[in-house]
Amino acid sequence: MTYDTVVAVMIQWCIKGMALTDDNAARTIIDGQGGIVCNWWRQVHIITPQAIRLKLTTPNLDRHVNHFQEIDSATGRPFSELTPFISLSAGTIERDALARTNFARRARRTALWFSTDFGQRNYGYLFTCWVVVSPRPNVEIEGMAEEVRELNVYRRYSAFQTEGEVVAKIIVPDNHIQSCEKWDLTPKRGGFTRAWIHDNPRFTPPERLANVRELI
Amino acid sequence: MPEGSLRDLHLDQDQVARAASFLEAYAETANAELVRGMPAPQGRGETRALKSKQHSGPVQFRYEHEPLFTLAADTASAFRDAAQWLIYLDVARARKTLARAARVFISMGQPYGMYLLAVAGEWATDPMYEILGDALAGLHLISSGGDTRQMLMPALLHPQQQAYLLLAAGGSQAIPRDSEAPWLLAMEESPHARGVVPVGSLGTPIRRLWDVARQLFLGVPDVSVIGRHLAEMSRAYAETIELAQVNDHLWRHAAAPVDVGDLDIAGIAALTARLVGADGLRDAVLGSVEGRLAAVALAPIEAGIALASDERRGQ
Repeated sequence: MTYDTVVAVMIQWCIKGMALTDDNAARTIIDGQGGIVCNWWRQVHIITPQAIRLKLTTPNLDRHVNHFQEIDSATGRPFSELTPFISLSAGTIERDALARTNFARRARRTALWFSTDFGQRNYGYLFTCWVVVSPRPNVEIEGMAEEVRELNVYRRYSAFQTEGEVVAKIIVPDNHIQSCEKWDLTPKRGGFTRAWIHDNPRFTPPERLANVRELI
Repeated sequence: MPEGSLRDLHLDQDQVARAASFLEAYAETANAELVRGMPAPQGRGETRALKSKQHSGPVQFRYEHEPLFTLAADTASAFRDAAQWLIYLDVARARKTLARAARVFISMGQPYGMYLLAVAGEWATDPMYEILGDALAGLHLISSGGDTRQMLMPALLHPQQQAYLLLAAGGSQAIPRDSEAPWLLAMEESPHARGVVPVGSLGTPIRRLWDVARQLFLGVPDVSVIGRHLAEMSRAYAETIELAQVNDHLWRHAAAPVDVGDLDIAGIAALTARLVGADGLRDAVLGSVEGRLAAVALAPIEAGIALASDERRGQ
């Protein structure tokens, strides 16, 4: 007797915050139709399926999450320059978790922090997109994103795993990206305002698939 | 001084200032959205009007339900996280930001907000007597096995919220020290008095916070008990910080997923220092470890002492 195994995957909405030089650089990511590619691909320009298999490993994922700017002994360069992974923010607000931790963070906040280059700029660019996530670790599977909260046991509230960090692999495809937004810090208002939004005309909604996890 | 702690933590003061400013700006952004999302006063949905002796109008847990709950959680957390950095930079600004976070948490029905108000030192001018009293009555209801379906603050069903409520009550002069009070008896009899439920970003066993609250309520606490608990929490804090520093990229940019300004430690230090003085607290903490506590471990304690000390100097 055999049993079919059913694995429920999720569609996860995320935001990628990018510290880009100017509006043109941001709009080009949409208009160029190339999606959001990993630093490795951008550096080497040509990648192969065989090379991808060698890159998507658990040690490399650990380097991406915990040793991002350290020198990779395999390349002699900071791992960040040749990482095959793309960090995305998913956010985390759940009523019971909030009562236990008093900690909540929407994806936009984390993405905005990174997009302003950790507060060094007064503007940032946010890309809203969706990825497919499985409930179990699967670093070798290129088309599935990873939830990385288990990789750091020292994280705050580790008993409740509150950090909403997701890692995509190699590329976030063009038609997964809904839009790009520019956010400006406006001192007179004391906060951020959205300056503009640039929609992707080729965006494919994930609603065709089941199990969509909304953006928080 | 708290700003010296940044050197001990190997954090650049300018980067910490940027982090605090970013979080304040983000909190204002989220707060503006929350205010715009506010329903009409005669509103839809369930509301419970409460009155505080100090407030001129009704106080409502207006952010208990979606979609405002998510917006409020975002706002409150951002204000709180800003305050966590500010305790090392600007104590007066930290107090104001804590109070802003506190009010939003309370408006969500989270007793944690009362703890933040107590830590910020606002109980003297804005004790919110009735809300605090009602929350404590809820604690008694839980303990006695009563019907909790109509509780004013359902979040109290979570042990963590109970612990923060008790710390707020212990640290507030607004609550009479009545040893026969039902909620006090409930506190003594609660299994959490000996429990291990994790509380706070460090996962502190709830029994520690329960014991601290019990001591604070005495008015003249056995400060050696509090000192011992703070020392242990600070050791856990120091180890967490050491591990977080391994990721140099995130650490240098003040982006590590840890609470560098730990408000559990700083808050307990502030509440205690107001009762026994800064030197009394320091002596108790260091005395419990024979003086052996790393400078990093002392950082949030000193920040808490500053929260209590500066207000007496009018800063």
